[in-house]
Amino acid sequence: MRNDYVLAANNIGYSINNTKLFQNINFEAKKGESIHIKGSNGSGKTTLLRIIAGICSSSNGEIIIDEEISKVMVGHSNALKDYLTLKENILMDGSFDIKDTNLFLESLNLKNKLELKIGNLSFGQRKKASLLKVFNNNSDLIILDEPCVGLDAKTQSYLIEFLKKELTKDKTIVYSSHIDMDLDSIEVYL
Amino acid sequence: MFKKFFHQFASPKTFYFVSQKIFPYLFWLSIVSLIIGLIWGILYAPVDKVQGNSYRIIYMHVPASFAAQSLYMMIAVASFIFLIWKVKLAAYVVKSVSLIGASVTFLALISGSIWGVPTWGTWWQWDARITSTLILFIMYLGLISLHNSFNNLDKADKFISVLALVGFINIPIIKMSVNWWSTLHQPASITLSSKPSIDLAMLYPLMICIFSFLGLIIAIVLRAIQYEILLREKNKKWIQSIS
Amino acid sequence: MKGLLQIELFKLFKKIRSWLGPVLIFTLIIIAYPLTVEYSTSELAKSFYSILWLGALMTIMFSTEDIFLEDYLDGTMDQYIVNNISLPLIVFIKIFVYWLLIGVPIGILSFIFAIVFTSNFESSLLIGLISLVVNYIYFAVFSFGNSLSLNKGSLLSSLVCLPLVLPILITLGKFITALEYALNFYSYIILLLGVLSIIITIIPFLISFILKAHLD
Repeated sequence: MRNDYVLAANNIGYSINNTKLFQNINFEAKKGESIHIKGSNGSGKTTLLRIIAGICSSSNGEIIIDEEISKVMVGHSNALKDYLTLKENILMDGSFDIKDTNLFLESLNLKNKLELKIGNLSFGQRKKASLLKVFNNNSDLIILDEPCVGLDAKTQSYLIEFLKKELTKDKTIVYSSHIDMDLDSIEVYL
Repeated sequence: MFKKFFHQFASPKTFYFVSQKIFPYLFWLSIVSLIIGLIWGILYAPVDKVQGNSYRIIYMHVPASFAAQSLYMMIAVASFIFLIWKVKLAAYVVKSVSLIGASVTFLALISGSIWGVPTWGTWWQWDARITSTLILFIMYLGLISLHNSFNNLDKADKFISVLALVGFINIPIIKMSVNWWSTLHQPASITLSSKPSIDLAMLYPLMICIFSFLGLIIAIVLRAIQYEILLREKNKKWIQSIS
Repeated sequence: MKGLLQIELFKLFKKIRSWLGPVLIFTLIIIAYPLTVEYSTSELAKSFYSILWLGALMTIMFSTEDIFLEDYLDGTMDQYIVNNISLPLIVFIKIFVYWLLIGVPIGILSFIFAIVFTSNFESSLLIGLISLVVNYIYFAVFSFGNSLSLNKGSLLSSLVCLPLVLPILITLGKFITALEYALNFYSYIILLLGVLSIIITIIPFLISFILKAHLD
């Protein structure tokens, strides 16, 4: 790794069918830093986050990321199974036994929803459930795509407090959000 | 040095201008020799001892099947080149040739059916060659429809290349297995194009027809690839300078 | 890997419609078959095996309709990649789980129906075993077809893959003939096992290449 950067992007560009979505994007992040990806609708924020996560590949340029660091990502889709209950989804994720899970469930007001199928939860509750993996994680790199969508004000501030704490624990966060999350981030414009 | 030659070939721009030059010669030469071959075959070649005059359909049927199989070889090679060396031109080849290949195979199937009626009394037979031609037709249709179902053309190229290669491996397998199957049943008593045992007087016009038809089809293929190049690279400067 | 296997098994098991449905459809086809022919045992026996093989083929073709589609749409596939889980492994496990919950019951039912129709225990056992082998091949091939037309969620590519399994059908036909005339049928079993081993190893990598290209 170059110096002590966790994540670096060199001249990233992405195009579909020979039309460019974005190009010449450069940024670097060390441990304990966060990056806020900004742009208008359709400018490619989600695509860039997916490139960082390793799901998409860029058309040109490269992402330099430490192979050994663990990532967690919450995107637009919840990665929860509609026909399973919340408890079963968490069990499948392997994180139910983590001692703090119950604490998070209570703070998110989901403790009494454990036996409900995901299909029966509201949009906001599903969003909170998908954010559980961020709370439960021990990953070095947290990637969030519009995490505050659908959350009520109390949950929003709870999430932001949690992320601030993660930053002090030397984690790195990359996110896109139309709401200002007040994390003192490096800003990248698309 | 070889790499430079190869890279030159792989450029759509070079391909476009080279085929622009070749096209008129190839096209007119093929049409003229095809007409000569057909007239010779249909009007002047001797009458067949067994089949009478109805065998003359082979002057259309055999060129069509030969072209169908050659086009698929072309697609298979282009798919391989695209997947291994990521040459974009190869992907254009696969896409444009699929439609032409489908039409030619359809022609081969129809003419084969028409031949079947006076010869065996049926429109269809499940022997190795006919079944594998039908499968070839289905593969072409699959390639066309797969490519059309994508908005992102770069993705679509990858998928049809994979499908084309899988089909390429499959077609000889189908042919072998149907052959194997038909040994249990009554084997087809008449071979379709017994080239070694065919009379020379019938062979010459047949060969002319086969090669001139192939030339004609390749001319059409060049045009189709040019069209694909124009479509996909329309943002490039060299295209805007032509139009 | 054991954990992944249990998770996928659990997921499919809970989606009862997806696995019980095909098994019941297969049963229905075989049960309905005698109603379509004049009732005399010789008439039944003539096409029984064809119905058995074709019924299994069609059922499996339709049951792989959303083997990857669901995960692709709800973001689970993204999570596999983010968590560095090997995609070929997941593909292999998914096909295996589908085979376990749909293919194996169909194999057992084939064995039972074969006994009912032919009253010969040994050949029915062989038919059941061959059915197990062949079902896996069907699952692999039709999953490949499904992965090609993933974004459209249609059966289009699975239909295109139908010709790929024609040689299997021909082999099955020869196997039955060999069985009935007490000829050497082992060569057909070995042939099918050979095809199975090739398919098991190649298909997961092929499909994961295609899935990655879809996500790009």
